[in-house]
Amino acid sequence: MKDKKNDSLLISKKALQKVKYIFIVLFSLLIVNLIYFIVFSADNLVVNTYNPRLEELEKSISRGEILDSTGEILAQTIENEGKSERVYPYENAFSHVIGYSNQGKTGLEAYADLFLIKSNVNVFKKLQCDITNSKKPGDNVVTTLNASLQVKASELIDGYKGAIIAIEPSTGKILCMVSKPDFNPNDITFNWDKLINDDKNSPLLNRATQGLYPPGSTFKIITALEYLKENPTDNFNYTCTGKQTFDGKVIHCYDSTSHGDEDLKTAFANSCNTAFATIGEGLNINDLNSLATNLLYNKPLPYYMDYSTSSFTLNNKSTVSQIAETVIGQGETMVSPLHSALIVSTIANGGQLMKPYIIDHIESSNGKIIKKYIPQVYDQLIEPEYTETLTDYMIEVVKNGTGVKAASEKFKIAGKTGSAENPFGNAHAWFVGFAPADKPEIAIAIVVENAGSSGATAVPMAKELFEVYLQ
Amino acid sequence: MLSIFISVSRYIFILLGFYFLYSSIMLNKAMFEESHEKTVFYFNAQKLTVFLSHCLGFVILFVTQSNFLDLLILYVEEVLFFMLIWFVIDKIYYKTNLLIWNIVLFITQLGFVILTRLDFGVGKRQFYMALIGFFAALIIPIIIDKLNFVTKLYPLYLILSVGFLFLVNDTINGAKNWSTIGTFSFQPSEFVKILFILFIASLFRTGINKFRLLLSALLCGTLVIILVYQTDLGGALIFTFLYITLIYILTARPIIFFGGLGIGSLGAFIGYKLFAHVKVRVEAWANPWADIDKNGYQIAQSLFAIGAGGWLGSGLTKGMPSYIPVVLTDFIFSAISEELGNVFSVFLIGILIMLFLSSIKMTSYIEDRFMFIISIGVSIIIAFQQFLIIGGVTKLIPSTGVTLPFISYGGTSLIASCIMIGILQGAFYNLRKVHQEDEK
Repeated sequence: MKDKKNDSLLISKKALQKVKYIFIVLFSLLIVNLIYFIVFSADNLVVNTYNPRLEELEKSISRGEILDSTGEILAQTIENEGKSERVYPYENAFSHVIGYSNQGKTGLEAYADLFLIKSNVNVFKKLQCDITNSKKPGDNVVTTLNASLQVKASELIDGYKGAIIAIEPSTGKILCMVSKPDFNPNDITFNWDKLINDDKNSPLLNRATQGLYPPGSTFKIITALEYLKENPTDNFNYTCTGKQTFDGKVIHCYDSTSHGDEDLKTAFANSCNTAFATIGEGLNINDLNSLATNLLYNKPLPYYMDYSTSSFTLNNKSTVSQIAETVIGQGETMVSPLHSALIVSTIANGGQLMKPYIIDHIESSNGKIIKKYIPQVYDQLIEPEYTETLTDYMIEVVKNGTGVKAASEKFKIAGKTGSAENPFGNAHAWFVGFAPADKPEIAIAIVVENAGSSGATAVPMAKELFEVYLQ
Repeated sequence: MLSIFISVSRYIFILLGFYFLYSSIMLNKAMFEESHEKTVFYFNAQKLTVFLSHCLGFVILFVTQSNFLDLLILYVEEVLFFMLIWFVIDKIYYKTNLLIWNIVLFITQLGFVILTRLDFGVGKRQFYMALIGFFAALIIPIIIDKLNFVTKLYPLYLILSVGFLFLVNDTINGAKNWSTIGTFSFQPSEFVKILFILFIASLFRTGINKFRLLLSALLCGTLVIILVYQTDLGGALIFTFLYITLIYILTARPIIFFGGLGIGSLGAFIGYKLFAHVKVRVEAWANPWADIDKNGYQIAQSLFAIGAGGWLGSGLTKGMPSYIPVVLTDFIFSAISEELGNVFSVFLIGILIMLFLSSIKMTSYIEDRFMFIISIGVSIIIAFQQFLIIGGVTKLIPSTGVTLPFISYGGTSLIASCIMIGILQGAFYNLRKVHQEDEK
């Protein structure tokens, strides 16, 4: 009897060992989960508005500065007898991209919040602050923005609604980002009600990243690219008479000008609507749709702050007239200035898109680098031989075509103009391009709402911006 | 200056936590190798660690709180309390599992410090409950040893377990499993856990047969259903897991374990579909951020606190643990993580693992089936409950409203846990004496 009992106890003890292992696994899971949480998730929780510790943290740290790439101060906190004031020396010029932090947080103030309220000064400085009961200085965010370029862009487009955005094609660095109408972030709290209720102007909207417009003739870049892909031996030939009908829809060239005999290059330079509508007739629309999608239409952009997605809805079920208007940049297509800049950036960079970014690095208030961001490749979106051809065409636009007002003696500029018809008034004026055309350092997208002629507004703005940046 | 002191204290707490874990591993080894000198050394080293940690905690409270005299009196009372317990252990219980006593005292001390930091009144009440609890813990081992008839009383345990659950007549903090008699409130389910283990141990004392299995399954099922009805989901989970694991160990048939888990999972799934309050918990676990000011509030605030602690903690009294909901009971672990840091928390989990491992190891030396069952029963309940609550507050699993034994505030929980440790040491007490007789 006793042996039997001990036998079954023995079996139970063996089973007990297995249960022991189960518990070791369970407890280990607890540890792993905890460590994983601290390493990966904990930091992000600090800036959650429901976290009561955030306020405490902000009380002991003086919010860091935001600087441009040359060290100009774009945002800083001034301590005045225990009260902190957030000051924006450049007032309106950076209102959307830097954002504000006194009325909720937007722009870089929101995105880089975690960095700005952390202090990485050395131990002695921390000790000193503890003893004198003063706030520790938060880390500074050094951006890729160029203050003189931004100020110039802001001046040029002042008085209009629209946006200007400039990117360095080889790295993806955002050099300037302006949206109009703008506001003075120093007075954000004071003017809040007025700003938030201004539906007519939407001054708080960042048009550069979130504004969506019909691309107008700037879309011809994509149409031309698709044509080149489908017709490797480009021997396009067309005689323009100023207008042509496509299944009942009449397409005019600008001012109904007759452009005469054209090849693809001259049709592009003239921004000839009838020529391109004709090209559209012969294109494989499915392939055109794929191309647009590859170029990030209908897709998320590799951009880490808020933006709107562009849309391209043409497909093989579209009618002839829809195709005709879409390939010249009208119809349902919508694109943001950011996206347009990314497209020309890609062309400028041999077809390779670099991920756009605004923060160059984070440094402690005494200059120690905490985090450095390096350029990252998104993907090769266009084959290099096509970008050469497109660049060639875009140089022609500025040399002999619709973009002559942008021409500079100092360097070659490549670009494309656009006048986007829209139901709200005059056409939006577009200019997209880059310079110097042979070794691009800056790519730009400009849209001026309801300005009418691109040549009169967007194009001269582009010329001045290129000259300011490249001198 | 104070800031610097508290900042430095973080490192000291971590060091003490590390040493206690290390010495636990060493003490465990020494005990089972029957190396007397080493056992004495590590046992005493741990006593010192407990006193140092307790002292550091209270010193910080002395300089940061305003009720110095009250704190001092409480501190002295607690020191005397620890000294008395160790005195009794040294004199009477030297042949039990020494490591388990020490670990329980270490974490009880941790509970005292954190609770007193959060609220002096709470800390004081916890101490008074500990007096009762540890008194029970110190007399029960002998009772288990001497009173043999206690092992045969399974019908009594059966009736008492069901009966106790029917004592429930009150809802506190949304939990419907309280019993209030006059001004005195307690949670019967805590004691039913003990009665249930006694029942199983007593029932299967002489072996397993189908009738006994059926009876035990019926009781377990009944208890679980009552608990679910009382919305004590944590309790239901513990009983289910305990029962499946116990029966698996007794029969050594894996199918019991997996089959039981299967049925349990099915039950949980049905519970999820049927009961709104189950669904709410699962949703809060899956994405607390989606409903951060209502369903997800508790777990979100818990994660904020744990995250704010980082590796080293904010320092005792430097964090904001009072913003954690239910921090005195369920979420006490989050307060520890916030102020003492997560390196310390990891060491704490390590110490709880040692508690379990040492207990299991000693259990494997038991030859009496009743003692064997009560021993594994207690070990599993404590370990599983610790897993549930730490897992719940760290969002590993949905939260289940159970307490962290010995650390969470609560007389019922503390006293019941002490009784369980008493029972455990009772099983071991019997064991070491057997060894002594064998040697003769």
